[in-house]
Amino acid sequence: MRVQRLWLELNPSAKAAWQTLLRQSGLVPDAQVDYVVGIYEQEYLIATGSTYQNIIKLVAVADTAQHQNLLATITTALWERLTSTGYEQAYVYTKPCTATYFQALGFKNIATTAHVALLERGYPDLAAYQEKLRQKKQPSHQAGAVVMNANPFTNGHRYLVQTALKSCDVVYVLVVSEDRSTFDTATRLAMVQQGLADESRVVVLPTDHYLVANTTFPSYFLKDQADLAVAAEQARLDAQLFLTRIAPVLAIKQRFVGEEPNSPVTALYNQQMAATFAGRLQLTVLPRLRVDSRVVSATTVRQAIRAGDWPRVRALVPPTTEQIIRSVYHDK
Amino acid sequence: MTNKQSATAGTTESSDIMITLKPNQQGIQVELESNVKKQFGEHITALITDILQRLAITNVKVEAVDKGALDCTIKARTIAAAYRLRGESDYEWEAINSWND
Repeated sequence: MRVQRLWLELNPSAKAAWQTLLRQSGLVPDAQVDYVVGIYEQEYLIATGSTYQNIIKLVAVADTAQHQNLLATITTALWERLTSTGYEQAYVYTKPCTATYFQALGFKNIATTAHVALLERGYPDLAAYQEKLRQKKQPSHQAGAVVMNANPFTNGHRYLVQTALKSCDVVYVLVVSEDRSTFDTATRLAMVQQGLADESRVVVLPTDHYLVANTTFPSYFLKDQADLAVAAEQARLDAQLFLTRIAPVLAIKQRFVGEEPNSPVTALYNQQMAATFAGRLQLTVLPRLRVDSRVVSATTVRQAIRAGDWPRVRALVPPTTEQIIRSVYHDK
Repeated sequence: MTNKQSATAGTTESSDIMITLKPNQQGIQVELESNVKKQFGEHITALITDILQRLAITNVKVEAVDKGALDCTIKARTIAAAYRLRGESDYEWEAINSWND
C-alpha cells in the first residue's frame, strides 16, 4: 500500500474522492489543511489523513478497508512529514471512541470530554510541562490561579491578581504562550513579570501548549453545530485539562477570572469552567475594574495605543507596561 | 553534532516497534505498550535497557510501541533511535556485531 500526497487544489477528482470518503466517515471536509495524503486501491481512495500546522486531522479509512491497519500507515506518513518539516510534537483531536486507536500508535491522552479527546506525541510533552511547573511550585494552603493573555498587561490584570492574593497565600499567574497576539509571547511574559515583581507571593508561568492554546479550531468532528457549540466544546476541553493536569500539580484550589460582559465566547468559557470544575475546584468570577466608570480591558488599551492616546494608556496600565509598550512602538 | 532532545525510530506497522527516546532525570525508564506485554513485556524491556546501556545512554525515558517485533527488530530500532538522539550516523558496526558473539 503506497501513501501518496493528494494535491486537492490541482486535482479536482482527487478532491471529490477525498470529500466523499470523509463524509462517509462522518467527518466534515475542511479546507484548513496544509498537507493531505491518501492510499488508493486500484482507482479508489480507501484511506486519508491531513495535517494543519502540527495537528493531525481528517483521518479516515473506508469501511471496506478497515482491517488492513491503514491508520498506522497514514499516521506514520503524517508524522514523518511533520518531523521532516521541523515539528517535534503532534496533536490529534478525535472522538473519545477512536482515541484508543491513536493510543495504540503511541499517542498520549491529554484531556477528554464527553465528545472530544485530545492526544499528543513527541517532546516536550505534557509530562515535561508538568515537571517545569513542579519546579516552580511553592508551598501553599490555598493556592489560586489566574490565566491571562495580557495583551497588554493592564491595571485590570493587576487588580485581578491582587484580589486573588487576598484569599490565597500563593497565586500562580499563567500567561498564554501561543504567539497570536499584538504583543509577542516574550513581551507579554515580561509585562506580567515586571508588573507583578512587587508581589512576592505571585509565581508567573507560561502555559506552553496546554492552556488556552489558540491553535486551530478543531471543529471538523463537530459537524452540524453552530460556532458557539464548538467554542463550548473547546472550552470544556480546556477546563478539563486545567482541572485534571495542571491544578493538581500546583495544588491549585481556586481559579479567578474576570467577568466579560462584552464577549459571548469568554462568557461561555467561564460558564463551562464552572460546570467542569463543579465542586472540585472553586471558580471565582470577579467584576472588572473600572476607571472613570469604564471597564479596563486589554482591548481598550490597544485601541488607545492605535489612536496614539498616551494619557489614556497611562490611566489603564501600570508604569512597567507603559514603558514596554513605548519601547516596542519606538522600535517600530 | 548536537544532542537532540528526543528521537524516534521505527513505525507502528505490524511486526515493527516504534522507539521514542526522551530526556529523563535519572536512569533508564521504559514505558512499553504491546499486545504481547503479558508474555514478553519483561523480555522486551530488558532488551531495550541492555542495548541502551551498551551504548552508554544512561538517563533516558523510552516510549516503546510494540506491534509484535522480533528481537532483531527491537535491537535495530533501539540502536537507530539512540544514534539519532546523539545526532550521529557513523555506526560502530564492529562493536554492535560483537554483541552477538
